[in-house]
Amino acid sequence: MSIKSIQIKNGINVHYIETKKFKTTTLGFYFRRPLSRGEVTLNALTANVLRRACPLYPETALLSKRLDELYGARLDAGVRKKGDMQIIHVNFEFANEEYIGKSQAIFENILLLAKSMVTDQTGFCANYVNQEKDNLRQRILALINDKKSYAHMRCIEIMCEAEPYGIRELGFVEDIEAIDEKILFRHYKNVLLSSPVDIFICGDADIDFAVEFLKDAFSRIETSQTKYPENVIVKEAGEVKKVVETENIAQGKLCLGFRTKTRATDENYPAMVIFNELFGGGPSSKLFNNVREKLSLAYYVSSKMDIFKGIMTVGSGIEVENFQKAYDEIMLQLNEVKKGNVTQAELSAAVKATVNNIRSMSDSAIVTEDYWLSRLITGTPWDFEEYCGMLQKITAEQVVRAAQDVTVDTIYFLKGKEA
Amino acid sequence: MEFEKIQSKSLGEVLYRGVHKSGLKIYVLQKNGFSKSYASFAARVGSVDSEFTVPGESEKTKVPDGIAHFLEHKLFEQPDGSNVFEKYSKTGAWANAFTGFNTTAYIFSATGGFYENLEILLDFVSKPYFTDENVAKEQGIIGQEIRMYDDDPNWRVFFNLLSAMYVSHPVKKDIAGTVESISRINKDILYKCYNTFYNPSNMILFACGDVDCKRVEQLADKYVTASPIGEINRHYPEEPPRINQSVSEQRLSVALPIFLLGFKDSELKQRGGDMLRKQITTEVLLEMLAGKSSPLYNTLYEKGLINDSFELDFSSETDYAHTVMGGESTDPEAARAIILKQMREAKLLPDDFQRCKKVLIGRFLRLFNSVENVSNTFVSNIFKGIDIFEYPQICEQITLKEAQDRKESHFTEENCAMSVVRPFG
Repeated sequence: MSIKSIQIKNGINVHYIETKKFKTTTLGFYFRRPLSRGEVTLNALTANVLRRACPLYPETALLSKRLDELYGARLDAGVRKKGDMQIIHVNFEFANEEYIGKSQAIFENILLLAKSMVTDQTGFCANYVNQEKDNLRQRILALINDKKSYAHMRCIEIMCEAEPYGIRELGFVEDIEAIDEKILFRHYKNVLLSSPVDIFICGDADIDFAVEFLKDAFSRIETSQTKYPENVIVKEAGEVKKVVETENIAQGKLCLGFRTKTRATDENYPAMVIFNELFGGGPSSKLFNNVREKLSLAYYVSSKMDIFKGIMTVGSGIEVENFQKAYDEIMLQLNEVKKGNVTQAELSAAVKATVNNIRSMSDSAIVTEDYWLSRLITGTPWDFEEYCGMLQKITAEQVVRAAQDVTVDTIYFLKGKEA
Repeated sequence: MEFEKIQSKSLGEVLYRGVHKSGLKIYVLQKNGFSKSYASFAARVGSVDSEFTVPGESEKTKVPDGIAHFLEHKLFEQPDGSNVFEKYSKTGAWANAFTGFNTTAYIFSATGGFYENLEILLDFVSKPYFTDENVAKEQGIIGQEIRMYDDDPNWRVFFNLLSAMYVSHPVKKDIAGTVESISRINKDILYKCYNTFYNPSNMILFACGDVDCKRVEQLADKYVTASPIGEINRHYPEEPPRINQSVSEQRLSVALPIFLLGFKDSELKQRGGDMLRKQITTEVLLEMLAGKSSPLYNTLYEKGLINDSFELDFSSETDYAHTVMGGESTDPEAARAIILKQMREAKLLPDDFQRCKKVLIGRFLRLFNSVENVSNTFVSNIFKGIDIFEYPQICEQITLKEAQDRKESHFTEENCAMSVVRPFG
């Protein structure tokens, strides 16, 4: 599945991923913003207010009815963290006319709706802004509900205290109150004028028509190009930070943050990707086989890489009294790789699993879009096969060498209250 | 074996189905253009099967809660002490398994080497290997899985709701059992369950992707042998139509309350097309009454009584069925009162009915975007005697009158239970 990129304006690009395998088509708008305390909350709120209404459908109920009429078209808007960057996204997914009768002009109608919602807003309704302020407050507070992801988030916050990446992408409860519809609308106008925009279309669509339409939609927007600073890659881990917090829970949640010091454009990046899989990626990894299968300490234990920041995290759910045991075993397994204890079978398993995961991405439109967005942001625009080709060349020596760069930075443990 | 070819012209999909000489039902949904192919080897056994009569025995067998799930974990164990993941690691396939209320499925997806992976799948599911030691090891791992769910508010609020709705049906029990119930599991009980439920005549093999049915048959010949055991008698306690309790509450570490309303269904005992018809009627009704374009949804949202986490679902089996709706709320009681009142008073209009049918058709189409989702949906429906290719046609046929009748009988206050998880005070 290749990608065709068409510049419609300086800083605004349409990317077409052509495929006939889906019954639906996706259209997604991605605005790149710097992740900062000053605007993180505004960005999160902007996304939530955008999808409430637009000049064509000024009430949420009318907008929802319109989406229903278009065979239950889906609308989703929100923010995503990509390294030290925050993405505001608005996504549509809608039926391909092929499967519901050619006479239904779904795509054209979605483009009209998208234009109204993304580029043609004329002001925000005070009621909607107030409701979304409450919702955003609730969503930020509710981050505690999922203990596994909460532990991961807290680990990153502590580890990256001095970097933009340490900021929660949903923003701050205490910054919500001061925002009103005027401030928010001013912010939206600024976002439109100063953000690089990637527009993805994935499916089987009339791309020439879409490009002309989008050129027109963005024609009244005079963008001033803003250059964003590159992602910061911290090269020294410094003194290990250890934080233990308490919640009223049954199972302890451990999250370890590691610095890999590797950027996506670095030569050893593919080796680091394989290292991560071999160490803690899936059921053939060292962590799964030792922490779970051999020692029976956990149901889940795995590592994951953040390609923007050169950070790896390991998460696991354990009994509180097993903290030291689990920590020691995770570090022992890391040292095993560092010492060169990597078998050919482990390497081959890690490469094959990673390649399988990457090739699988092409079977989901939204995952494919996100893959390409990340590739474009990191300046590594490899298609799936190109990327797999690099990974398949990695040797055990390269993995061991990559492991030498991995150092623990932060140990975070969320434990239950003692009885 | 003969494969019957079923074509859905409107969907552009082709399905082959046949019955293997072992009694195993084999299905192949041919999908081209996808990178992945997917297979599910599934047995009709789940957490509700806690009491049954083994064919040929006169005594009933009662098993500890969580046994189906435990068995699922243990099948990954190999006689040489390794686990099946080591085999899959040589092919690169992604493999897993899951246990539901009624189904246990062993699955893989692979971007190459489909038949090689299928051999691994058929081989390991056909060869149980349980020892006292490997059972003890699993008690530790599953113990942590149970503890993980104990902290999961969305999981807890759902199972508390099932407990509130059902008086004695085992659907109310946690799928993984409890730390206590799994401590009573040993290798003999595991073998007994395995020999009863993992019989080809009680199983389905579903494959999806660029897959040739003849080659699937050849592998079934090699690994799946018939061992006729006769009818499995499953015993479910008599479940009264009334709900068990109207409210269930628990406190957990959450930011704001999470609530679910459950409507217990008393129109039961269907299978096949009748069951699908009830399913779609309820779905279109739910969309009209509480979907995103409904007055009810918008009232609740604008009053701040629900947020984006609000969800609707109808789930249906022969012996039980229920509608579930809810999410986070600052005031679950107020939300409940408005929901019950507006649902009772709502007038079902023809325009809304037609519009909501379109939503269902779009949702159904979307199912075919994912080899996993479409396969899993086929499998659970096949066990219920449902052919989901009939979905668009039945959806078209359903009348407003049917929806109206369903509304009167299903969405009543007497059928409604509420579960709430609240923050610690």
